[in-house]
Amino acid sequence: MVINDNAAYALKGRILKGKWEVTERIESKPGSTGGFFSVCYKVSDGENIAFLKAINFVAFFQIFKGRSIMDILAEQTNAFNFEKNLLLRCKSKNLSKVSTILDEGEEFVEGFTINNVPYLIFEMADGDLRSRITFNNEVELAWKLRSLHNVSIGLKQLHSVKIGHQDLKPSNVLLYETGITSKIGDLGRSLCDDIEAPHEELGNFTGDFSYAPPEFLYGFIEPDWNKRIRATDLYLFGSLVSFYFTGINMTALIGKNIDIQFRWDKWGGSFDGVKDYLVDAFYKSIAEVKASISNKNLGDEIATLLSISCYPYPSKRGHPRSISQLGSQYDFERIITKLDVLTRKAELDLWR
Amino acid sequence: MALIFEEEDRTVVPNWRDFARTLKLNELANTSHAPLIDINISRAVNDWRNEKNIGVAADLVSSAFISGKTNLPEVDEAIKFVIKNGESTSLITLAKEINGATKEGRGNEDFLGNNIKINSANYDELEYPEDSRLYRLINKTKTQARQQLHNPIPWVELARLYSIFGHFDKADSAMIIAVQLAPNNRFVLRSATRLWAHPKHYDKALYYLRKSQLTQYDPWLISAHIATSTLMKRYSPLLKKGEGIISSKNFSNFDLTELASSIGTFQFNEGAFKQSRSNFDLSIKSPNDNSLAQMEWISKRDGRFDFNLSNFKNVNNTFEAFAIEQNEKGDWEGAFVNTLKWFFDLPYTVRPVLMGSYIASYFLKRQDLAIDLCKAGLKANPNDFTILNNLIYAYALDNRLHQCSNYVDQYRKIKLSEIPNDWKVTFLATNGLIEFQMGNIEFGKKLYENAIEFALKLKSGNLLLHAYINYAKVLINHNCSEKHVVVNRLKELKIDKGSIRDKELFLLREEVLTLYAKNIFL
Repeated sequence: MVINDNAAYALKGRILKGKWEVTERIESKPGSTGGFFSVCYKVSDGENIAFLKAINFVAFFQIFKGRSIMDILAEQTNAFNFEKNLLLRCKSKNLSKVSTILDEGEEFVEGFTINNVPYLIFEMADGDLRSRITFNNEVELAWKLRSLHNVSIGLKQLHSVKIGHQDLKPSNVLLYETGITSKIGDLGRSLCDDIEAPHEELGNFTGDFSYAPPEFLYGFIEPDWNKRIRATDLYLFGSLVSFYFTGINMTALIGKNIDIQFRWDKWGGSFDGVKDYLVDAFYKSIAEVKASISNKNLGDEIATLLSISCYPYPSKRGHPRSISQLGSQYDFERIITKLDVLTRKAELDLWR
Repeated sequence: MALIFEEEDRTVVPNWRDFARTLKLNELANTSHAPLIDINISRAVNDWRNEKNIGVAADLVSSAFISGKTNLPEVDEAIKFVIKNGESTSLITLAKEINGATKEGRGNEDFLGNNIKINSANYDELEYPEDSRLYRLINKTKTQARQQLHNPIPWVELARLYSIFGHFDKADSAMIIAVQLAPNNRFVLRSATRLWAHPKHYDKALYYLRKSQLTQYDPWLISAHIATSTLMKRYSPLLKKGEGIISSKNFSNFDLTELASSIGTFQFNEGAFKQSRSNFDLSIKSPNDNSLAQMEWISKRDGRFDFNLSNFKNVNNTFEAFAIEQNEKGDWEGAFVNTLKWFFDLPYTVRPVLMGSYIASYFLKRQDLAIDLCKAGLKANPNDFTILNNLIYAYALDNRLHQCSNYVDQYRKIKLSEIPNDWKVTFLATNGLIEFQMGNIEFGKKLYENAIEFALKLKSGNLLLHAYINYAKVLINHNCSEKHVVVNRLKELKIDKGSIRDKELFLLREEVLTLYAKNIFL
């Protein structure tokens, strides 16, 4: 196949499903889903502009030279279908704080070795969290808290449909309505209770390892699937809270506050052997986040939120009271309520 | 008569420092190969190429730090961007840490904390930590411990601070919380062993060591178990395991240093010199302060151990070993500086206080230094007879006994039957000195004579010489007629050349004879 022999690049000007006009090809924005294996477009149905992600088969062969074509096709097709299925489930359940698909389909484009172009159409985001955030905690407190509130609702919604996101990070927090609403994007590395994920291997972390909870960096895998998935999402959420206020995710903060001899790239022992030192570093990290927030009461609230979400070992994460009342210590209900209250106070300017 | 604590049964019970200083000594590391994790940060790098703002820069800096991939040009750009535009102190600190801060390996350093600098030139500026500052630290640590549920470290720190003030019960309670929170933590268990070995609660130390799964395969904990058992004159069931760990060659020489030393000590006590020497040789291949002090101690007890401490100047916090060595060589200034450092390093320990005050009183003639050190030492050990003795001795030599009547009262309440035989000679002699100072000359003489009689009964040449030296000195100072007889007797006493304290005794006797010569016609 020559480089021009790629149907994914030939969608501009086409009308998909008699509704979506492909208006222009765009570079994949930082954080937008897709990456190397997709070509992105702006599409319009006459009223709304949306974002199209077309699967790029040709890229498979460029990236994985030397590997069996059957394996590559199977792997990528499975990944695409898995993400599509999750997105359709989210769409059918009307999850308001998850970036879901508006439509999906497969376009037949003549004249190419591979004529079929499967695609997904998403709401068009303004950008991701990183395009908007600053780390001056004197301003935009209400926005930060509202955004975190939205994200926590998004996670709760995903869990309610048996999906664990597993890859929550700043680039996957997408902003809509000029930043008023935040939604969780990119289910490509998610895991689902009743749909087998092609990327789930031996229970290891499936998301971006530079945001991984510490237990995975030390090779510890919680054996209980449900517990692992929920504890991971809870940690990733807390890690995001830390990013909102300091610009550093919790894993990096812990790494900064732990002595180098205990860091994951130096420690040759077990997770059990290092966890007390992680706990010590974790409390120092919380103190660091607190110090970055000038209002003491808000600092205390955020510290509590972090201590619930990011405890270095999964069994101690979560709100202890949630076990008896909600059935799972990893439930987001209490966090959502707390963030709602904090946001309202911030909107009334009470944290100044 | 001042007392220098002769440790008959030194073992390598772990030394206990605060967490921050313990970290610097690398005794908590696990140096087995860490699993390699290759973290892909290309997404964050690409995002930075496409859009340069503080959010993307922060994301890349975090990712680079976690992955260890800090040498990429994009990371460098992001770091500079953060330092220039960042509003978060934490983020800027992290960026700077990545930027410049590959921490260099350290050479020999004194990890004393609190910026304590000690050298012979600034004795007069020497300040012991104020109680109020330490109490504030206790309060802060207590709050921290209560706020940080499940964190054992502040509980250990709290126990240490309490033990510095001699509040053993409080220290004990805090340490029990720590070992319950972290029953398999090397720092916690080694600290607990040291805490409980100090007031001879050996069983408790062994109980928690045995209870821990980690003690089955951690050389640092097996060593603590063997050392504590040795203090109890017991055979440790972990001895065989310890020997197996050494022969497995799965651990670094540094990880084995205390274990080899504790097994070597056990074998030495059992008379197995050859095996003992082989273990001691291993213990000093990559020693820490504790194993080095043990080697120094054992080599003074048995000349067959060939050991030169000066080859180990690059080991951190070797104050004890050098204090013993310099004291032996008659380098009093050097020995005193090291006893002070030893005390500041391990302020709950009695031995540096005794050695330091002994040197200050007898050889530096600085009773003020001996008094300050003893007072500081009494905080951790308020009822310690030996420190109290040296404190009163220093006050008496300074003719300031009236300034320490509370200590004298406390001392006088001690009954002869309550103290070990080895210390009875000193106790009687110091009481003799007190009586002399108070004008009860005859009673003072009687007590000195009792001390001499007791030393004869114990057949201790050193104690006898010390008793005579002190008695002679006080008789000369008070111009008592018995001085001639006592000095003549002192001249006749034989000092064993090559014994541990021979140089000291020659010197002290010479001093008395000179004093006598000056005062003979008075």
